[in-house]
Amino acid sequence: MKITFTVNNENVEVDVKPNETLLDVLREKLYLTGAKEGCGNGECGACTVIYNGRPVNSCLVLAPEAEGAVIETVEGLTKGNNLHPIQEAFLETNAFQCGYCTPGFIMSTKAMLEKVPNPTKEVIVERLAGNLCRCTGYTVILDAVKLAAQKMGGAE
Amino acid sequence: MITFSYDYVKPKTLNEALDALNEDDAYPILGGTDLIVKMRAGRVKPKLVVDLKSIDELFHVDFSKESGLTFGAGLKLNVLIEEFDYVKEYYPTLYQGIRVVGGYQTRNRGTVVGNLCNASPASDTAPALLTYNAELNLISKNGERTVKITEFFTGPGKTVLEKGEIVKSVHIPFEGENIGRYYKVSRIKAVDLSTIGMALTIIDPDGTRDIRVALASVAPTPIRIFKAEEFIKGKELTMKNVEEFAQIIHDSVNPITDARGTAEYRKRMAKILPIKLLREMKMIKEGL
Amino acid sequence: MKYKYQSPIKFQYVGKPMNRVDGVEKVTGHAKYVTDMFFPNMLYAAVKRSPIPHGIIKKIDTSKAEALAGVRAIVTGKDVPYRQGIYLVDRPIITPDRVRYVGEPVAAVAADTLEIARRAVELIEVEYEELPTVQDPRESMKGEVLIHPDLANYERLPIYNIEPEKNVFHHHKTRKGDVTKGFEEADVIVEGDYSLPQMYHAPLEPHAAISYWEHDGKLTVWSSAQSPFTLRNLIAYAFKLPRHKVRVIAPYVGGGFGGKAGINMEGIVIALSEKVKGRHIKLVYTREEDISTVVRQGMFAHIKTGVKKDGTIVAMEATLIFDGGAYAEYGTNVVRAAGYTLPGPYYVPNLKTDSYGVYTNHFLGGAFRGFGHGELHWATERNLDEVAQTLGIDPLELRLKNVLKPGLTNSMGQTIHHDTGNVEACLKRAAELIEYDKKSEQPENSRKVRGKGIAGLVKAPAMPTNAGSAVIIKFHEDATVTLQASIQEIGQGFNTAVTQMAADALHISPDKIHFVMPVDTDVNPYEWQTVASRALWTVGNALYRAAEDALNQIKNIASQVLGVAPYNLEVEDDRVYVKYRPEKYILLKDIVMGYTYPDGHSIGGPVIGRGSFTPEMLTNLDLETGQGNAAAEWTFGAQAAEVEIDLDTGELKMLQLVGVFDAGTIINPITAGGQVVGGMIQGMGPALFEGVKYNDKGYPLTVSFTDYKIPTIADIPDEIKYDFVQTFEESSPFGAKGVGEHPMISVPPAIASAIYDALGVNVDELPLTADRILKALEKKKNDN
Repeated sequence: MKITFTVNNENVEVDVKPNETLLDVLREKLYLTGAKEGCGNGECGACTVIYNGRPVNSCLVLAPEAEGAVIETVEGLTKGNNLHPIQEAFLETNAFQCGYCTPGFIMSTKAMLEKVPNPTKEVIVERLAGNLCRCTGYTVILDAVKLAAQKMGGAE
Repeated sequence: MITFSYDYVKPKTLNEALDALNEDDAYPILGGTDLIVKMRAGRVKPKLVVDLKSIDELFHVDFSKESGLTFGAGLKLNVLIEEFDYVKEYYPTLYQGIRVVGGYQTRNRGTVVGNLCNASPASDTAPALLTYNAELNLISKNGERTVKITEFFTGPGKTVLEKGEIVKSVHIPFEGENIGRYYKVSRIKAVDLSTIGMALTIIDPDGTRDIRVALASVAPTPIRIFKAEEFIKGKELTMKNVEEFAQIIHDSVNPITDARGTAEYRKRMAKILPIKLLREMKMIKEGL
Repeated sequence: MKYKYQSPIKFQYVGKPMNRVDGVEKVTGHAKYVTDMFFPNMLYAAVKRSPIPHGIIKKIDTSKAEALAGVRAIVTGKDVPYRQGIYLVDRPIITPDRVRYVGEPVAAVAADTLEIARRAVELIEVEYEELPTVQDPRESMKGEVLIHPDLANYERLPIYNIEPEKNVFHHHKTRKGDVTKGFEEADVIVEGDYSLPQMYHAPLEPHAAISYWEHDGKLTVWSSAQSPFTLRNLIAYAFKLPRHKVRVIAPYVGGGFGGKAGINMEGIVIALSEKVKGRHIKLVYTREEDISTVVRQGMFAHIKTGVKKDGTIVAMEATLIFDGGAYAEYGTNVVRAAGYTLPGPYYVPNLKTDSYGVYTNHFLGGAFRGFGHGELHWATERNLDEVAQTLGIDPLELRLKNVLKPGLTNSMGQTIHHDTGNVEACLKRAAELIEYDKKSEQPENSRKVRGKGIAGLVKAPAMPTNAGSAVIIKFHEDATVTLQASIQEIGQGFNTAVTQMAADALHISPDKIHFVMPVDTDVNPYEWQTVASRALWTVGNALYRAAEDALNQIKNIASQVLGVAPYNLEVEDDRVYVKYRPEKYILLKDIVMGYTYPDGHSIGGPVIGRGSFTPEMLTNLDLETGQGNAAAEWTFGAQAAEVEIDLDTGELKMLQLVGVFDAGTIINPITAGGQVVGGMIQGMGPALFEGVKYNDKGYPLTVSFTDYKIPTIADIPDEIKYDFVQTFEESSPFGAKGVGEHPMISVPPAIASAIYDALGVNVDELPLTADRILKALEKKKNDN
């Protein structure tokens, strides 16, 4: 079946099967491989994309459910060869190691900062607890989020 | 990636949806955060997945102190607590329960009704809803019926829902000012299934003080402990009475040992948590 | 002899913070992992697995699967009658006859789509005859159920002792001094049992490989691998191919932690390629499959320590029994390394250690960050705490009294030197950072209590005596440089650190250096493996030689042009100049492709520096006494923790974690700090909640992230502090050694020590769950 949705401000029409997930479609049909499959069960957050304004695990969205959705992936963040302030913040705080979870964290962070420009640690923890990272121990990610908030004009 | 094939439909009306759900091995989907996991594991194999997200009736929310809160099956967990302030204000125990379901991403897809229909003994929304006397409005081709949440669960993964029947909405009466806690013990501090969960709601805390208690992960279904509530009704909250209240809760549960905890620990917590929660809510008359 | 070591390298970039060189690729999502690679006409693979923990395969029927449209190849164990293994060749690629754990591969399919491959797997029918299982390695040693009846016939390195009738794949022995006499001299003897379950690596990227076998016989494998060259070697060994016909390419690795060392699942997809040549085949494990692929071994330990009243240790006797799971393979050396490092960073004159690796019907235990040291330190550090309690001495004081110092010998009889590392300084600095001399401030809510604890640690790289490294430095026309060293970037930041090291070794700025990715065994120089926290040390040596080689070539050409002896020339930044007349110089860009005189006459040629290194002065250990020179260099450390425990529920909250490490020169404080913080949180997992669980029949219960929990951002301590002691390691021109594994090692004993400080109870089984803490409290109450 054909579905259409918006991904990174572009309308796309894709031929999908009901048993494919949105993550399968993004990665294997659109070759947007920034979102990763870390568990396939919605438990690691590596596949996080922004879906109609909210971060979701794209492994737990069936492809046909995405009809008409507005989706942002990490690939949509760079504008005219410039990094997004959140990407700059992750870069400057070295808030990654192996990098596999990083796109998911960045998308969760973007969705958060759009709604809560100046999040407390409690809010950051609540909204990023669904993203697992096995490398960093998370402290640099907290730093990155705070720096990103500043860069985007939210924080002090 | 799901290994088997099935059809997908997204009806526009409730009637069409109920027709579709009457077909063999038809499953409804709203959030999908449980269904897709089970499909991926091959534990359920629908022939037809019926997406209910185009049905307006399922997205209705309504609250007044007189009629209570009614919300449709389609309401996402996060939407309910972020966009409708009265959930936090008038149903604090439920608010806390919703906030600890899965991760933030899961709560953006998952629904309260899905959490209930999944009928996990570890449901984080059910204990609070049990304490608030929630009722579920069920609908099928055969008509509508209302089921009390205490009667909804019949076993792990099992409910009273019949073939082709869905939960259309949840109704929670507003029984007056209340305070409450949902306390979840889990292996890690977020995004985990409970080792034990306890909802403790006190209606009219400064007056009649109606204490309600319900638990997750201590029985085949989430359960409310009426016997303990009856015991404590009208009694002073002295340590002695609270301990007996807690003892009744302890004696009423029958947990198992699994990857999330031992039966022994769960049983022990069934007694300790009510005291802990009442103490933290400053309800216990200390020194008596 | 007056002795003072001076580094031959002037540090300009080494030691300074430099942002990671792989950042842009990673924050844009453009960094490519094996899972992100697609090839035209590619096939997808899936694996059929054993549903039972132990049994004989009676029959495999693949006919229904073969009939499915789109299926291109099916392999079973009969098609690949090869075993593999880096140290002990005990692991079939696909088991032909007997399954030994739930999840063991029994067949694999390649098909046009992943969906078809997985469906085909469901259609494969396997009949088993179930065998009795064994779960507990202590039971297994009775030999009632033999898991590898053929063990005696397996190939292995001669440094291992097998005991086939006891399911023992290695029995490591340390015999130092005279323990009988030592215990006689002791005033107090304290003994105890300490245990921990298997643990899963949980890299966010599961195991993944793509295989392509050309009709001309050349095999190419893309793998999420820590060890491209060792992988090539093991593939070639198993499939009986010449090394030059096997090419391994390893792009970015999405986390390894030891689980992607050696060979893992690559053989399965290669076996499929053997049947479908000329097409790429991709195999990516699901999370559930990944958990069943390789784990850290579990352990049961018994430690007995004899001390004088003043706390001086006089004797120790230790038995470590490792739950090695169904296959040993790489894990053989874990058992050995734990055995030879015990008792950790302390001097014990009389020592007897028996470390056993034992087969069970559990997931196979392999390499894991820490490589046996997290396990052994759990036992020894806990035991030392209990010694301190018995003697009424502070646990830190007891440790400081017994630390290894220059002139003393370790368990292998190796002498500690002035540059070996300073555990005493680490312990003292960790104590300072956690304010060990001040008792925890107790919270006002009296139903919660706090406590602090501390523990020491040591680890050397566990590697063969000839684990070599090589580096190639190529100069380009504009005097920029590409650097090839085949250490795999697995998140640790090697690309960044080695760029800084190369900058100082070559006297040019880091922005002129590009580290070549991915590691490609057809293109890159040899490297043993990215394991053992050895890269900075071993590659540092090879890199220095390569840089000297390149600089000498430059100076030799410049010498002819400038008419000055090579030793009077210096390379700096963009030029080579006369040391005593700096205004006389040639720009590097005019010399690195050879120098051309104005008349066109040219000399020299493209500059390529080459450097190799193999560990110096190592020997195998005596199989009966464990004495010898197995360790080349050591990183010492100390860790401390402060916890808060809810007396009602037993729930534990981490207030502080502290780590101090003597890793010699810290090349880059950013990446070193990343290793430390990340490692400490990875160590916190098994301390508090992580562990593979099985039911009593051997069926795993923790089969996905639903029940195998790893720390989230909500679990980290309120505060994490760390520091480095930097004792220059003189066997490396950079003075550097590893710190990748060490931060995870002694987190569990530091936390257990803090629990004792808070509650006065010892919990000697990991993980330190609320349940166990409450039980220990209750036992204490009953005992009183």
